[in-house]
Amino acid sequence: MNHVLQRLFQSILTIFGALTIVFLVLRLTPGDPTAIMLGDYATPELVATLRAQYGLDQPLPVQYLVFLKNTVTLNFGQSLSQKTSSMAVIKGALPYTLEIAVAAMIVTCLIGIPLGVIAALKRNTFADFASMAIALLGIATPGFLFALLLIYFFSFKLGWFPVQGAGEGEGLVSRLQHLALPALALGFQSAALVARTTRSALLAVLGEDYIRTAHAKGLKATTVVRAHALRAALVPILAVLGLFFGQLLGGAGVAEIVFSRPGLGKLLVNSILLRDYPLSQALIAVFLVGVIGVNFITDTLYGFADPRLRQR
Amino acid sequence: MNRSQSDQRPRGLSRRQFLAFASTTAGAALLAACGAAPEPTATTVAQQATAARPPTQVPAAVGGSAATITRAAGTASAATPVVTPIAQPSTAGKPGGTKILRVGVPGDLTQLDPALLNNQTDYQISETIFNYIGRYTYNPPLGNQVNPELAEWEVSPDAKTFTFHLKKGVKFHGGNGELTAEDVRAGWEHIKDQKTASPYRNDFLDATIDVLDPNTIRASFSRPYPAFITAALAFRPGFVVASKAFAAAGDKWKTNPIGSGPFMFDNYQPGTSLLVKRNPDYWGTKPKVDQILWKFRVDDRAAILAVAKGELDEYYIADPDIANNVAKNPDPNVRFFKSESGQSPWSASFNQKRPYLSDIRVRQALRYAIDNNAIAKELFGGLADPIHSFLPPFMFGYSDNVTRFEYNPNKAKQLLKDAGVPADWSPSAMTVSALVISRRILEAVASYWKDIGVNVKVDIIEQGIYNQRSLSGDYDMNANYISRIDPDQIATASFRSTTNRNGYTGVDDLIDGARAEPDPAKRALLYRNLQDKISQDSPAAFVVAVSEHLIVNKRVLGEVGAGWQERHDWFNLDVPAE
Repeated sequence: MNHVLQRLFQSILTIFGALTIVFLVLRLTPGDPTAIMLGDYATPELVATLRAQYGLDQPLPVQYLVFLKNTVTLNFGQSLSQKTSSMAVIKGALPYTLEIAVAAMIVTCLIGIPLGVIAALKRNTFADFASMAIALLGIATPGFLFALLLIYFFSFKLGWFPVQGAGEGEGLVSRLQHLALPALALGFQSAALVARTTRSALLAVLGEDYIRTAHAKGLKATTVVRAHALRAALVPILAVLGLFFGQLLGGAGVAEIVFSRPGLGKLLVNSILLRDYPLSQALIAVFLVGVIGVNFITDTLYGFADPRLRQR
Repeated sequence: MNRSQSDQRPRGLSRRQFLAFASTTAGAALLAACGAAPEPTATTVAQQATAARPPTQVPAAVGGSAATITRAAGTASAATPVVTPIAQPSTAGKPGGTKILRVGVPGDLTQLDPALLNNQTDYQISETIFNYIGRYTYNPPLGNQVNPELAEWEVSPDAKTFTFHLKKGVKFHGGNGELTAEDVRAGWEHIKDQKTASPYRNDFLDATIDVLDPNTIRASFSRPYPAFITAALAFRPGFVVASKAFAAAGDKWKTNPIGSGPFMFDNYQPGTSLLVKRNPDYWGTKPKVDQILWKFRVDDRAAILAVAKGELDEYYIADPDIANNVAKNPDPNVRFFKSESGQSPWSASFNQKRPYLSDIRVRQALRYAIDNNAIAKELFGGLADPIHSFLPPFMFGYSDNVTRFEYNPNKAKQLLKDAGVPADWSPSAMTVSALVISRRILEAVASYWKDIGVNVKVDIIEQGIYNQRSLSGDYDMNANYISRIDPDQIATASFRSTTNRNGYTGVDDLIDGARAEPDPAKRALLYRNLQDKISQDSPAAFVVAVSEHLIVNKRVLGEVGAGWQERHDWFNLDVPAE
């Protein structure tokens, strides 16, 4: 219990530290949200009026206090660019980000782990090289190019999937159809790295004495791999998957842009470009909570994957 | 891997075999990606076999002239390089179904307060929900006229007093009562209020507003302001909202807008979509579609495929390269429209407070160095119009008859030499990274300047930094384009000594005189003189007026063009029911 509390305290401290840095960096970056809002109508007088309205003319410490108050109350203030509550904007985009992150993770696991296992078991054979070539292709292909290729073939040429959007306001089937290609685009890329990690981890485990013992006991090869080798190899795989999931929560930006899907990644890019301080801060807070939460879950899963870690 | 392990591979691949495999896989993917253009689907072929599209009609605005403009199928204009003439499907569609027009936009809705409307997306949506006092109507070729919409008006001979007689029986959406002069007054006062920080405040600043009776309102100015209707009331600040609903909604107005327009706001999903539904009680021409759905944050490339597939009906293309490509290789399901003339004049203004740029010879040399025609032709494939002064061809007062600086690099070099410009002079020119068009033109212009020995450092910077430097005058050259509706708006914003940040003076009297001239013919002549004077002084390099490029799925009927002067007559667009 103490450990959990300590961790929670650390997490809150991390979030506040990171948000403070974000607060400062955003305000020290040249560019003013009100001037951007006014565009080519901006005059010094209009900028000054709007800055006063949004409290941007206050000294930095005062703005920081307001920001702290807003953070503690989980009300990050009104988005400057959207003219509505930052949390409401995030709430609108969050479901799309979660669904794409989960779907991409499923694709990653379904492609990455089997490829890695095949590569490890058939080491130095055609299957190994083919698997690793696919993995290499996944790592080397820029995300947006791969996404565009997918759209071109599967949506435009074959007409299997919609070109863009997330099936907003439509039924489950439509939502899934809209999800397929973005999930594949994101999932394939991370699958590449997962495949390589799985291969190395499994190769390391396969050389262990207890695997040889399992073979000597006369266990079936598949049982040895599934129950003994793969399970022990899962720890580094889980670590990589955890990192990816954290990244996906905030970094599905490319897929969101190319597939014209709503989502937090795209929202963050835009809010920073528009110097929408409250929205940027709220988004980063959500990402931090997400990443810390995922890390916490990953750590817990280590114990399930490898019982030896539970005893430590 | 140790030596003994590597020796154990009975069926392994050699490095050469592996490389061959990898390159074949990659090659196959690339070849497939570069395949032929998509074949029309079976439906497409069947649809093309149907009868030719009937002529598109643009109805004259309410209360305006009875003339109906009839244009041939798919011809945006004679100057339009490519418009695909195609057959049209019937708009009947599924019996009892809903007609939904889907419009893709790269941005998102920011607000619906007419006092603050400042981007194309907000403006487009507002046009469906609200009405203007008077609406622009397109009279080709290149003619614009404001016709009464919510009011008819009288203007005093000195153009100082405007009296508006509001249409009776105009109902606001959702049972919010009928339009009265009080609604109009509240809207204008809101713009005048300093706290609103409206970019349009100057249009109403010295106006005295009097409500004469529930259906009559008067605006009086201390100086003549003949452009009040064309520049303010038929533009963004001219939308009329239900004043009580506006006051009650406060900062929730964005999701509770109440107007009297042909469509009613239904719902908004931030960053995703906005839906408006047909107003059953609309007082004017009833819309043909039941709903318009805007999809936000749509990517240019995906949008082109989406319009071809019919997932989207309309989309404006921002990138000139992509527009050019679409114009040259039209998809059978897509019609491509270019605005009849360049809409937004692009220029690179010269900061006369910086070395050498205060010398008129240097500024003129920089203009002689640029081949405007070649940029319009080569960079835009003819999708932009060369310009020689500060107004775009569609605008009132535009004149072709101004002092020109035709491409002459030798003369440019001579002028630089006469001005004593050193060989190592390397000024900087900035523009906004997100404005693809502006970036492309600036790069082309900089290469022309390089040809005459001026190594311009091109600063492609992000909007926030650009605005900051622009406001503080921290630049040698500032490249951008400006979209306005009346010549006074561009002249005052860019060239009046009190507002321009380039240290340019000498045309204030001409600007003020043209702004206050009530006689349209005389006013047009004053703008011709102003254009000529500004061209001679060369406070900026005027290069091209950038066009708008619209792609429309062929199922949409009634779309007539891409330019703002052709306007979207939203109530006139039609799609099959689904």
